[in-house]
Amino acid sequence: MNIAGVLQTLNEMVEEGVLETYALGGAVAATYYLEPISTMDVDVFVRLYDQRNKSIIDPRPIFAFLSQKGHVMEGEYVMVEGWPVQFLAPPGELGEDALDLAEVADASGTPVRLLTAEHLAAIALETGRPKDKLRLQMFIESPQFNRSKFEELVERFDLQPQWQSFKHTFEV
Amino acid sequence: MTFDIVQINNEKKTYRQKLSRLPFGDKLKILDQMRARDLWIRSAQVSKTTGTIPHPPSKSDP
Repeated sequence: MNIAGVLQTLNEMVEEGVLETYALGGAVAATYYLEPISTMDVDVFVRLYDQRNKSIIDPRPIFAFLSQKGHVMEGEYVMVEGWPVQFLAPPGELGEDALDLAEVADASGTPVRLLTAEHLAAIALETGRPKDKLRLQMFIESPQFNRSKFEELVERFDLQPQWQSFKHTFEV
Repeated sequence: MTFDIVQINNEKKTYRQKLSRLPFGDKLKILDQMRARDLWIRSAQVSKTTGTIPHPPSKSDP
């Protein structure tokens, strides 16, 4: 069980040209900004669309590269260093923006690209499952969270109804 | 030990903030440990003969 090894593998995939770029999302990315959040998988956002012609890029090189390294497919996941890793296309325009503006963090000397706190919070608001609402609450309580930047995303990606509902329910 | 809910909540908040300030590499190691423990809990079965469950993985387990 070694999530740091997952990050090294992702960086290797970029160096080898298998991935154009990537950004961690979900609980692992949220853990950078908040306290450690228990999770069973690693969400990795990758660009699976050619931006110019919107055609789907063949994802098979990703899985071929990982298979060659001895990593095994299990359902929609690839098992890397004991962690199920899921490669995802960014969900909608908000996801595309999040991937474009992802930031680089340091994990004990390993650079890792991950979504910003404000994008993670906006995606949580958009997704709206109970665990997403809990995570959004955690972001809002965090002293490092930039609420005005988050509310700009809410405005830009038409999430005002969800945000009004959330604010009303949780009194934030 | 206190039963004062306000104090308990404040202490929890302080502890969460302390965890959030850890270096990312340290937090990732905690995620490794949490996943190992989750997997153990999911797979643990109470022994039909002894009524006990096996020990959880230690922190040094891979």
